Amino acid sequence: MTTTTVDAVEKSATRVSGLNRWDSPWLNPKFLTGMGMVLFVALMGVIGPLFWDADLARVASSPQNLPPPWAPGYEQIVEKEISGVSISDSAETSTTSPSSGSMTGGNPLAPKAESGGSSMTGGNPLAPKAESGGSSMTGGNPLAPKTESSSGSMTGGNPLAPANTPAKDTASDTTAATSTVRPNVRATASNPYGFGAPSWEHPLGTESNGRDMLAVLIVGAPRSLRVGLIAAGIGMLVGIFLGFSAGFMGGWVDNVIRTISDAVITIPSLAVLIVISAYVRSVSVENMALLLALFAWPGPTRLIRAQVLTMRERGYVQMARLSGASRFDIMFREMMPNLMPYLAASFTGNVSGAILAATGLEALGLGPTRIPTLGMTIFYAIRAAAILRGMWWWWGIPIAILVVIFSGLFLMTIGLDEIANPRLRGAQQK
Amino acid sequence: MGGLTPKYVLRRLGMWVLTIWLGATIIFIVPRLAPGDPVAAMVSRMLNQAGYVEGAAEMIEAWRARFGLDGPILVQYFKYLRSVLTFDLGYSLSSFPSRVDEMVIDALPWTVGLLSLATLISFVLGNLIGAMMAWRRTPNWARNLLPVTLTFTSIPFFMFGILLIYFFAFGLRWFPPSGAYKSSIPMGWNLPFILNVIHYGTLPALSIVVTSMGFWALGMRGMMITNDGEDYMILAEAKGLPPHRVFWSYGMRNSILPQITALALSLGAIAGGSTLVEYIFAYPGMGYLLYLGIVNTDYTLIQGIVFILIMGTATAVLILDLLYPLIDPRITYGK
Amino acid sequence: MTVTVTHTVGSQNGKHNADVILDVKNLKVYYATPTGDVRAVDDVSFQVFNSEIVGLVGESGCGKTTTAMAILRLVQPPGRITGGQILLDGVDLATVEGAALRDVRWNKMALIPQGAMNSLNPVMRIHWQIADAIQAHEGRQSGKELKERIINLLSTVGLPSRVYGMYPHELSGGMKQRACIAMAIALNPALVIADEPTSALDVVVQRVVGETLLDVKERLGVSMIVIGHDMGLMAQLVDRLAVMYAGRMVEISPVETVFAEPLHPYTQLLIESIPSIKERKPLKLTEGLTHDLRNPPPGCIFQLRCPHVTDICREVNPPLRELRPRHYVACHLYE
Repeated sequence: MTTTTVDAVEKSATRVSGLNRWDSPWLNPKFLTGMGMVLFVALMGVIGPLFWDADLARVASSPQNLPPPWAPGYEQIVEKEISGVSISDSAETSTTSPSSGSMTGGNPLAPKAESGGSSMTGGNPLAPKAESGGSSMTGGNPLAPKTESSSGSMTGGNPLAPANTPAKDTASDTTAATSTVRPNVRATASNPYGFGAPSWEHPLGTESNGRDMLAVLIVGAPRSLRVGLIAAGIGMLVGIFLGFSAGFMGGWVDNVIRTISDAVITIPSLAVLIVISAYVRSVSVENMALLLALFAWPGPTRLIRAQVLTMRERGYVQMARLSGASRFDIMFREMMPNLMPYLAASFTGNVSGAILAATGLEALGLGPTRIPTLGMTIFYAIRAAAILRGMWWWWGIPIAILVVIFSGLFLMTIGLDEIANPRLRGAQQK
Repeated sequence: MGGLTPKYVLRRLGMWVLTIWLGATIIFIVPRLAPGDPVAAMVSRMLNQAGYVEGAAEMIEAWRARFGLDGPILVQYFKYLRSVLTFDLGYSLSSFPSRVDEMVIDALPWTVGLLSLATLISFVLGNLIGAMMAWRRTPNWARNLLPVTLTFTSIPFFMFGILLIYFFAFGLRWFPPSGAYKSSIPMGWNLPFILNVIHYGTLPALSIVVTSMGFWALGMRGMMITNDGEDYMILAEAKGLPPHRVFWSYGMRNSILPQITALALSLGAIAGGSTLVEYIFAYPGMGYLLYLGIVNTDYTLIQGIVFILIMGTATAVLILDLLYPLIDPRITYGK
Repeated sequence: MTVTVTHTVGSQNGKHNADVILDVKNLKVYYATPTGDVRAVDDVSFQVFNSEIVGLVGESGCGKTTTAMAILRLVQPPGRITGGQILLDGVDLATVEGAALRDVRWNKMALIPQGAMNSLNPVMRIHWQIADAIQAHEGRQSGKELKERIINLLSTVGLPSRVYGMYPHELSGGMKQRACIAMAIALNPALVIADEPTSALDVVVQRVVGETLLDVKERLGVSMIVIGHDMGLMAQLVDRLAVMYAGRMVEISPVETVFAEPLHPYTQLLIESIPSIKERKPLKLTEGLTHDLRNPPPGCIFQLRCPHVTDICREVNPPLRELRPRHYVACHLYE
């Protein structure tokens, strides 16, 4: 070739420099937004305790029933009274038991529960006797086993019950509390639910057990995240191991793994988890995570197996085989990098599912009773009829933060899907 | 028709049996793993309660027989298997002498009704929305509006249910916050009752529909986008077929297949989620019954319900599996 | 080297029907990329006459498929027709839209796709896919007549009538390809474009499909464009050959003369590279680099690889000139 030809080549074969690192597929906006949301929650657990007293998440550490100070419409509640006054006006009680007849599904259960308005929006103030026994399970059987009360933490569910606070253990928890100002809830015509005066000492309000909601968030939210991460992590590891085995080895190994994972997927995991939790109360993050991992592994297994089967026939894998690469080499050097986005998407999906399962179990009351987790908070709220009493911050704030977590994980999953499958990225162009 | 070969049917039936057996075995094993003797704990609990004296002795006997302090564990296991196969689920502990199967039968229709209706609606709607989002001929206004329907996808069923109760039952008072029907209306297949049931069931159904719609929509959108590049779609366009025909017979028809597979796989999760929804709404289905069982530590009830739930889900999956070859002619052997 | 040209059916040596079916004038199809337009088809012009088969050849990426897709109006974004006219039977295909375009599709121009494996809707029976096309353009047909018509079409391409009710996955590759041919001629179009119709098939089936195409041309008088890069097959199939390189047309000629006396250097290289069953010769590699399609060099498109390149080639783009009767070449060599 002459020099002129070389020049022509140089001129026409222009170097492609349009793509720079900002076009990296990993910088997908959905993925990053989602990750930001999740990180925010995670950081809350780290930074939060530095700025806020986490002890306020303990029962009876704060005044009861304070709305958040920024919520409109509660400013007029200024009556503060020192504790000890009992509430007997029942003008408001009728509004809190709208559905007493709702459990007549021909359900022969616990006839005595009927009078108490046995819908689980329970906490019926018309069943004060149940309260004095310290029995916390008002949702049905007032003769529920005393074992509940011995766990001690779920007292004081109903603020409208005769505030015979000396009978309750909680008063002794914070010995100093009885003498400090504990503005008691006083139900009046203008304040039918007996809310206290909001103050910025409790920026997210408090609930009927005397817990500060911000503290509950700081303690509970990261914990939920941790449970999800650990459970999903274990599930992924098992899934990777089983998925690769099934995909690579084929034959009866593949059959067995595939059959069992299909069966486990079909079984409603929440139901079985309920059975297990009913017998074995799991209180620690690790135990809960292990339990959830029992049902978290089939998803990744299926996914990885499918991907391995597809990739096994791909050109680059065949090439690796031909050049004598060992199985591990093929697995980790050829397949894994291409699997990354799928694995990541599966992981975030699993974290979401695990957190959902954990929260669901707790919302039914099967979680740890001494630690303020988000799910248990919702459980207490439901039990105290907080929805129908208008105490939206009690259940609303845990739900809000959970929505942030779930939405964040969801966005991450979609973003990762788009990273893995470029065609989904370009759909908007049409 | 299609690929419904005996081999396929047998394999699917085998999975059905395996799933149920696996579930039953787990339910059998768990109580025996718990520390302590459950029967003794139960007995002491009984003795602590007033008012349960009558019938307690018989019940304890039945319970002991069920748990079988007699015989080695394998014997217990086979006795247990036999009893569940005959749907002899025992007596409820907290509402003795009611039998578990009676209570379940009362609750079952509500769950089946709510679940199947909600799942059907969300599946159909969700897939339609997803397909429209991906179809290039969807007008732009629709294409921009549709993602709004997906905003609630990442909220779990029951949390959305709580929000619905707060806004629509407590706030606007358009719907009742709990229950399945008003007891003052006589039950039966008459219009007032049916309307009443629909009125009560709207919010629970909505919690499931609105939140799970997004999942189907996104999946369908992905499938339609993937399939859009397929050769048969190009040829369909080259043939000058009317757009709606291409959408339905070439696009949807092919994209729906993996969605049905996904439906079968997610039935377990949907069943779990609806359990929580029933709990929130005190809807008298199996989910609520399960909650009451938890509250009263009614172990027989819990185990019975969970078994029925597992069996129901496995059966639904079996039905889907058997229907699948009828719509996908390529399947001759199970997945 | 010699290539013996055989036609199994009578050819149109030297004589051509003056009817122009397709007239492509200065067609340009560009693909938009972030770094500039890729010129897939750059100022291409040619004609297809009545009842003839034109072969469109070139190496991968030369733009032959894009040209065909442009004629069929199947170019997908980010590609688009940026200039030129495509006149088919009085209609300018480059500008027609909407219902008018759908009208033209399949009625006047049809596609036999490459790799029929994926081009048939997997969940539809064969007869439905053909009926689809017929009914889309002719309205609903009477069941019996339609069935007869479809079975006739199938027998035209040599397929037995049982194929009528079969699913695509039940057919072999060759049968699928022939089913696509049957579908393409269903409405008796003026022009049929076959995109590498035999590339995915083995040699024996290639012969069958090739003969079917010739048969169809003879019987129905359909004009065809056959795209491919198997020169040997082209030699036996087509009446005229059009050679493309890097988006431009470099040579158009009747098939016998182009093999006997290829004029353009690129065509010479193409023909030289056909392996011979009779003599042993070394594999000839073409030297030089291909250029960036976004930035073609000024002048002749083949300058970087041409063994006879001169200075004028680098400055002036040679137009297609008729150097022999009906033999067009774009090269400065013959000035």
